[in-house]
Amino acid sequence: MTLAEAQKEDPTTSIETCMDLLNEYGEYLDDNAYTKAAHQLAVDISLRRMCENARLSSSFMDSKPVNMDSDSENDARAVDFLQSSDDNEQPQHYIQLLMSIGNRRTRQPRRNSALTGREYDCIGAIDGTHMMVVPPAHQQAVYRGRRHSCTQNVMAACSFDMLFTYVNTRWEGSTADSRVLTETMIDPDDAISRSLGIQYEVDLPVEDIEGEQEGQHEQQHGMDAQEAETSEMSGRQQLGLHETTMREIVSVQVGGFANFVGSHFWNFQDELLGLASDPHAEPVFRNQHTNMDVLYRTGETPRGDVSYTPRMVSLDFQGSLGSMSTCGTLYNESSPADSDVITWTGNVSTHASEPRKKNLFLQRLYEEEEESSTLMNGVNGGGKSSSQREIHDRDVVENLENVVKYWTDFSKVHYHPRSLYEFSGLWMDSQEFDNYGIGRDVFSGGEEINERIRFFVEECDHIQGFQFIVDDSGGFSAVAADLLETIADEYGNTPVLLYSVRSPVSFMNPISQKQTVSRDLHDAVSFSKLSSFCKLIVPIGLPSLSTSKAATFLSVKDEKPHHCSAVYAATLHSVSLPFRMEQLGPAADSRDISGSMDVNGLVQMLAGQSRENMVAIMDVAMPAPPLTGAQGNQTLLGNLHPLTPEISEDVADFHAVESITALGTFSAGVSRASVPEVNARVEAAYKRATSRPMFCHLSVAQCPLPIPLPFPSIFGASVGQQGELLGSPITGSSSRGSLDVHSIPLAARLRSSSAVLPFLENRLGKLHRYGIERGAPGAQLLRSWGFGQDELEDMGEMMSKMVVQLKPDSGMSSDSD
Amino acid sequence: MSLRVLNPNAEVLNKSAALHMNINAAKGLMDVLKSNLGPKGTIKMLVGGAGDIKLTKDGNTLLKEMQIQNPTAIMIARTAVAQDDISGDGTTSTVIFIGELMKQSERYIDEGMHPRVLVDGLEIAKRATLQFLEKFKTPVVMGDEPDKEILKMVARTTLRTKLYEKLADQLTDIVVSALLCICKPEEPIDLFMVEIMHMRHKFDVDTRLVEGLVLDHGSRHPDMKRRAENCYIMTLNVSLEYEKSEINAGFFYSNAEQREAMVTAERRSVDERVRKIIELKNKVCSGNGNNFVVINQKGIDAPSLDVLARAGIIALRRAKRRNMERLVLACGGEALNSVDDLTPDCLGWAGLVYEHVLGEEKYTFVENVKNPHSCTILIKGPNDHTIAQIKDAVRDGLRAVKNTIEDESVILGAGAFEVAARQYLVNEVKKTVQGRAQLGVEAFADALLVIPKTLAENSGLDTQDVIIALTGEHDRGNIVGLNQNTGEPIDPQMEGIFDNYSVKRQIINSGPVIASQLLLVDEVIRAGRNMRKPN
Repeated sequence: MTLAEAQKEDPTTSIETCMDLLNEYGEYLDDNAYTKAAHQLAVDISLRRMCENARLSSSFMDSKPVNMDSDSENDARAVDFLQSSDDNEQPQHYIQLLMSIGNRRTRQPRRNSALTGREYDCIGAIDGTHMMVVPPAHQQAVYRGRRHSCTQNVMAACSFDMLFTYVNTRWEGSTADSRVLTETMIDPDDAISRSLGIQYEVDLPVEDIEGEQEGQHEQQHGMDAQEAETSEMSGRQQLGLHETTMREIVSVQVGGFANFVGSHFWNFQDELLGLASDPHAEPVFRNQHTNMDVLYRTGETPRGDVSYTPRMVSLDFQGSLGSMSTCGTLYNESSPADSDVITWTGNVSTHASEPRKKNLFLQRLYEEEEESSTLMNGVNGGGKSSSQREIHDRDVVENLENVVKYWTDFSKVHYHPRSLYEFSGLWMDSQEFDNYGIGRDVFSGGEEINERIRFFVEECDHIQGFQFIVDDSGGFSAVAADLLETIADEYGNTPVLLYSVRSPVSFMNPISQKQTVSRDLHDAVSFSKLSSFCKLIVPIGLPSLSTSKAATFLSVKDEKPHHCSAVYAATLHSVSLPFRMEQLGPAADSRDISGSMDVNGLVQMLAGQSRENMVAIMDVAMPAPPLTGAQGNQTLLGNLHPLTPEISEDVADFHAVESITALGTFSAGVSRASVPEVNARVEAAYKRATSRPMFCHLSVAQCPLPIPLPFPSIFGASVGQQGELLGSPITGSSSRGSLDVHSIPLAARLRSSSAVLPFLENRLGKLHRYGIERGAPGAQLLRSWGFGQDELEDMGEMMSKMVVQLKPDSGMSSDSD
Repeated sequence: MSLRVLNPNAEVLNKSAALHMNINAAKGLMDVLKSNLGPKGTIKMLVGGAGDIKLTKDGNTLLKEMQIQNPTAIMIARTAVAQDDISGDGTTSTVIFIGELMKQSERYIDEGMHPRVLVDGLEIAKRATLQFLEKFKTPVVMGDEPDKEILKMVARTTLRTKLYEKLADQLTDIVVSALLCICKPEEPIDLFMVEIMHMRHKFDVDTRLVEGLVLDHGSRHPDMKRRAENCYIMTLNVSLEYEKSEINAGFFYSNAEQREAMVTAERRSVDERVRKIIELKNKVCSGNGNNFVVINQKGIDAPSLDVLARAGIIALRRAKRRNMERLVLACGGEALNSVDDLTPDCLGWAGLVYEHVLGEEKYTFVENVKNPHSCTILIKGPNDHTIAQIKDAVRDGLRAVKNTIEDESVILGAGAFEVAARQYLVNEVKKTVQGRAQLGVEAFADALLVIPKTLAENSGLDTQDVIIALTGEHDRGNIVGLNQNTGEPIDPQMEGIFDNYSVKRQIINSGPVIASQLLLVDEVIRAGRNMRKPN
């Protein structure tokens, strides 16, 4: 008797029975299952956990009844996804609660009563899991899903009293979960409907899936995708599923400073991933409710290990990777046999450049990795671990402060070999690379780079957008413009969100008149070129970050690129957080996050409203002040200071559109504010404010920004361990780093406002003065960069259009042609 | 010196110092590349600071890898890179030739000759050599069917300077067949129609020619077949992804039903396209057991993949743009930009389509095609640097064969041309030149000999012996080249050693130009400050 048969006979087979069955008939689990004995236990445990989660989620419903109410009003057949509230155990499971069908009566939720699922017409929970199996070689193909290992797709249903009501083990690992569910539901002989106690109508006959009711179909997929996301989050396992709600982002980093920013950005992501799976971490980190698969991809190294790497392409000078190999750190297996020359029988002359020394931080990363691999191999590394302890955190941090030269020096992330691209023949520091023209001359690797981007895009089921970080202080903006043009061509409707960053170093005082002209023209040309190929451009980079208002609580050193980039990266992280938040259904809010949005949504909101202003300003409050606190003057909104240069302050713009993201805000002291509280507070603050924007979107997450070890020491003396603002500064050190500050609350804002006018007007004016006007001093220079008069006039026209859009009084438009 | 008055910071080098700086830079660059030349040259292994290995015997690659700072060297390197862009080969020869020209000129300049006069002589010699090249070349009649043997000889000559003999010979066949596959009469050859794909797998000798196409991705649906025979191939450039409408058309809805309806409506247009594809599939495949493969340049999202998989269609998304062209050439049919008016004529055909999985990489082979005009060279190798080197060699081989077809002529190799041209210059041209410009002609003639000299040197032979033996034979009227194993003169025609006409012409053309420019420099000025360095 197989398990399925047992289920058929007795629909309420309890978990004990399941276990008994597994023990007894384990090897005949089903006709086409070839389960290893060792995995039988796993089956049991994973199913049992599912039951527990189901019970917990029913108690969770108690605390959040309102959402269910609104759902049932609109759609009686409410299918909702609720997250299990307790996540002491990894992996987390989303439980789909199947609401009963046909009850159109609006229910008043009864608070404060001990509810079970049944009282909400929930009849149970369904979930699926993959189990490792070992089928015969000729059958393995169908068992291999996207995980590349052979699995059996098992679906089970349970009731709220922790009894299994249904187990289906009939499907091979390559089957999509949606299929398992659909096929099971339409099978009249199947036990599921009986086992769930009622016979309910299923809206998914076969024809529908291919035909008109595709929306319905999508919803179905949505369910599975949600499920998939979480399990991928937890075990990083990939089920053979279709995701339609999970929308991927491909990141591209072009140029030196952009990679510095990117390196910090990925460090944050890596830290968050680490904390999410760390049982000792704070609960806020374990319940992030963000989906890293938006930014990361799952792959497999040549040795067969599962890898999880950023979906990112980075472009830089040759030699800018420092001690990191272009193949990344995961995928290269360097055996001595590798260096044999097998293609030539003649002489070989070796030219080895001196190996670049790894700094203390990288050495430690390497050692930790070595240690974990020896542990895995069962070798006792007792002697080694003591030597490894010699590198202390404090030394590492101090060392990093002084030695950082390349962006890889402080990167703790593994990159995919296709992520890192060096321009061959374009050496770091060996030639001038400070204007658009040079970049235009040099750029030649277009096809190869596009191939790499394509590699990442091809894997995406449904890409939501590109995130570009471009160092626009030099020739790289020409490279980026070229790249953006092909992307706009190739991936037409995919929105591109572009951050043009520059380090304070690039604002060094020009020496001669000629350089001033060259630089100003570069700014104008680079801005107009980059903006013409993206949907939203965010210029970031103050001439002096250290003295700006944004750095009130920080002690940043302008001359160190890894200082400034850290601030920008933190802001970028929070701005991009809404893209990664899990969607909990249209009206559902969670206690931990709210305000999820996709790239297209953000772009439409900021750039697509009444006026089409595609230049957004970025503001940051780092660390963010508490909502209410001793320092009454520190308000969240008042503390947001711009990181975009050349903008006017205190402009009352009634057409402004804003998007604020708040991470881990405190309500007072060091107690974290709940999401609704933040929402309410910010709303209230807006009501009080004298000049209100036309529209504001707010995204809130309870999880603060973790500070990874290689983060530079840039916090001022009045920042506490959890990023709270202390009344009296800590005496002793002037700057505090990752050892003293473990996480910070952060608020960031993107706004589309007329405050950006000076930025645009400066560029337009300079283009006219130096480039277009008769006898302009830079006309010759622009010609040498390959721009004709017509092209320049087009650029001028485009920019003056942008200016006109934003002028408060459109009648006053500056006439330029 | 007047510049000093204007800008006291400027660095100025005077006449002879400037000239010697140029000459030394040229000689320095020549010394670096010299050992590369020919089938007995040295392969260079470059190990980067982070342990990355690069193997090369190609002058062009080497020049890119060197951080060249000297302005003169940069000028020469650019000429060499231009040489590579134009003819695909001969970078090393160009650099060596320029270096030798400078070296020969130095002798005369040190004796007090004015560079201007010398340059005039070089110019005369250059023109004469180009004329001689026209006479010397061996015409190849292309006709309808190019002579495969001569193409093979040219390819072999190039490849044997980059790879060891056995592999070179194997690749020779591959390269020539690939080129003949894409070569169409009366049309220019587009080398992009040969796809070069690599797999880190097995050994270098497993490199092969695939008559058809290898795509570097696979289907993204688990239910799709991994192997199919007798396939119709649909080459598509239509998005099968549910896309939100353009930016400004916002989404406004007030309740869930409206939203649902909206999504359904948007989804419908995608479904409609998928339905049309399935319709066509059912039309062509019903009853005959044939298969249907869709290769799309745009995306295909999960629901569409699912529907296609149910209909038994294999679908690949995000194909390379170039593969669209290649597919049509390989399989027939046409690239479709819309799914309206689909007819069976739009479809291509392949006898076999299968997927090969290598770790996380998937490859899809489209093989057994009828009458292909596009093909793939599949390079295999155990590690990345080996693959990269074979890839470079294959590219050069393809360029060499293409040049031959386009030039309709070849030049005898193994140094035969250089020796013959030198004899021609010394014995005939020099006498017609008046005055001191004769010395320029002589310098040019001697500089030509650097090619056979270097070949001999790299083989460990005595250069003097070799040159005397070769010139002796030439004086007797025999056109001979150098046998690198014995040092004896050989007949390159018999041995099948042929070089490209266009490569040689380009070297003769550009070498003296850049050398003349450098010789005429009498002041080097560096003004302004380097922005990157702190003051």
